[in-house]
Amino acid sequence: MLNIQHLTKTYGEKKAVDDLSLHIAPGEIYGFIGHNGAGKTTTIKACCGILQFDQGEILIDGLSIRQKPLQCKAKIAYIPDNPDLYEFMTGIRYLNFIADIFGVSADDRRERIHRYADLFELTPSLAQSVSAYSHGMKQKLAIISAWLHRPQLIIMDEPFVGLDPKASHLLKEMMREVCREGGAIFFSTHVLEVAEKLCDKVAIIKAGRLIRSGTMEEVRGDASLEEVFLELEDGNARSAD
Amino acid sequence: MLGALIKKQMLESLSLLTRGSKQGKSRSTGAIVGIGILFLFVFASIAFCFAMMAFSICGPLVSAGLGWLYFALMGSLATLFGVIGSVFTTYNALYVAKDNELLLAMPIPPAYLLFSRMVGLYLVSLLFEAMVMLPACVVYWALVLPSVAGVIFSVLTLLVLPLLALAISCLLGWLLALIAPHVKHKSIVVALISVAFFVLYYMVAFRLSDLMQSLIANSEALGEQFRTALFLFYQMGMGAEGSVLGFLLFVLITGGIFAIVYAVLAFNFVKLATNKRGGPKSVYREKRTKARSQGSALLSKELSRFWGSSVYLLNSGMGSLFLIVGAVAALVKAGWISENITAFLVQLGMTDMLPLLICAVVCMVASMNIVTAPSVSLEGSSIWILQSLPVDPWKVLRAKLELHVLITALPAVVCTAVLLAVLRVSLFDAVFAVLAVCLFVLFCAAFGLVMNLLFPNLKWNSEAVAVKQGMSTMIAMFGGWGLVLLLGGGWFLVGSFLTAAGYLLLCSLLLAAASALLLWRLRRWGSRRFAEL
Repeated sequence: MLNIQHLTKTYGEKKAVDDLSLHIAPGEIYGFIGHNGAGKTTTIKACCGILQFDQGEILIDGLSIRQKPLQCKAKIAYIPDNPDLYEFMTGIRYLNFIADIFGVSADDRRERIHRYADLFELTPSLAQSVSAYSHGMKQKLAIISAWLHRPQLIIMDEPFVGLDPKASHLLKEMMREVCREGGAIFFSTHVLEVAEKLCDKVAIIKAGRLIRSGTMEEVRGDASLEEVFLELEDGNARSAD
Repeated sequence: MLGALIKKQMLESLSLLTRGSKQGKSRSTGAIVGIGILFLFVFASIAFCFAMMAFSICGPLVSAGLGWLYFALMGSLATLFGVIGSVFTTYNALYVAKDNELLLAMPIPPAYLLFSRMVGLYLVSLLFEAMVMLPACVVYWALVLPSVAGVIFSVLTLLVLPLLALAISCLLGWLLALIAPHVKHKSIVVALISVAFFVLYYMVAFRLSDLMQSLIANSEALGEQFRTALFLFYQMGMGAEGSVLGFLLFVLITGGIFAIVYAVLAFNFVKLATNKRGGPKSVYREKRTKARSQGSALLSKELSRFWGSSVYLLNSGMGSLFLIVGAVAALVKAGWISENITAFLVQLGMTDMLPLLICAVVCMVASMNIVTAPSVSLEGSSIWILQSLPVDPWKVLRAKLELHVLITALPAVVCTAVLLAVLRVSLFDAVFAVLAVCLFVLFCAAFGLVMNLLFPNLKWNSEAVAVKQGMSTMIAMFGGWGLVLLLGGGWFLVGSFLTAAGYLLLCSLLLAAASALLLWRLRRWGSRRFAEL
């Protein structure tokens, strides 16, 4: 579903992502972890076609994001780490705007908005301006908008930040549902317990380079993901010394 | 602490000059110098207009022994100008700044935060007032040998007077912040209030010449009235002429007014600055919606932004309002306009250039609409939405162009048609005039968008920064006016070879070619640029 091949992105002289390769298959929930500034957001933005990259290739369902950006974007949904949405719109207007762009029929959008907004208890606030929403409400709106067009691949940057426990639980269920239906999820998180429980596969990135990836069992072995992550961080730090 | 806050405020204000683009990279020295020169040019042009006015009234009033009245008049004009200049920024800068909550969470006394914001606004008022008072002082010093005290007090008055305009505009911003949470269509209300201000300003401006003449003729009687009705400006005038008591009274009263307003604002600053925005709570009722095309959804989004932001609406769409008012005024005063303008052109022997003149006036007003010039900057931190959606960037840019044309072309065509009919221009000439106006609007839309793609500012704390302080908006507006002057000037070169219709056709062809070039650039380079911002 998502095939990242030798991705390299440089800012000035700094390599934010260095020769990174990952493959996310249909039906997988793929966690992406790393410390702050490791290159997670850069990788995610490159996968969504927001950021141009220097070398490598990113294929979404076999299509190159560079050569066929619109076809690729039609298959994916993206939720950024900070949901800066259109504050001049009401919630319902924003959802209709997204549905219009993706060409979701009136009946389908009505059914999906109804379903997800009710699940997230956002329905009463849909007529409110987005500017009056809390961070969590904006995050919920961003999630609903991402699910509106039934994307094959959902890419999320720290999706659980700002969500209440119930909404977090719902999101996890929705992620599993997407995968059961043959879709895939690629998301970054700092909450290792969530990654450990939710993900089929995980990749650890440090200073732009992939330092470990594979199934959860392969990556953590007998230890916890947190122990492995800290060990890899320390080990790399020591080898750097 | 206060120093650090003021420094932060200054850096934010100066970032227009020193930093640009999404990454907030420092501008090159050449770019800073270029922007500085442009600012100076604008400042000098406006100051020159006020200098002309000051020159016409200074002599007669000083000869009549009413030098104080001269300063008092220019001072009140400067205050009005300062209020007009800063009032639209005040509400946003004080109460809607994005970093209000961040700063209020720090151990900073709210009054300090308010004060630092007011320092930034003071500089805006100072800038506007200096455009009036600086030439006023220079003209006075050139015509009258001033006393040393007079010069010192005049310079100090320059620095103190903006406090009055600041106090008035802050009070208006405070009133707006009080009512904003209870108003559903806030931007429309703000726009209406602001338009009322503009009407007041233009009523004064249009009648200024008559007022000045009547003032000079009845200076003593009016001076007496002025002395009691506007005591503060009387004392200001006395101070500028060298009276120590007058100056001290002026400083004390102005400082007192400012202190009271500051205390009023500080009283509930936290409450108003942290009020949830978005208007009164609305209850959602499910309605049947129709699916729209991408183009229609994007245009609707642009329209929502335009009508949803008073700053955008007022600063970028004022030309349309003037065009509509102009069309109505032309209909109401049709007889007067027809008689006087025709007589004026007959006197100059230039009756053949009537369609050109109409075209130039309409284009000049239409170029006040700078809808596309801040439209990319206004995407701000939510630009990721359009960049991540499966929509061709060209469609996004086209929606911005369509908004400009939609907002501007219709009023421009109506105003042109009314003026052409009132002045009885032949149908043949009228067709070319309307064509030229339409193409001019298209050119301005494309030019503004190109400028904004060249000089985007996606990092702003207040929409006012993106709309009012952008390099692109300045270039777009002055570029539009410059183009009108250029095309108008061209008539004097080729007018002897061409009829008005012929020249309008030539202008239309040039505008069509330039617009086509810009649109082609936007489609290719502009789309790439937007995707990479």
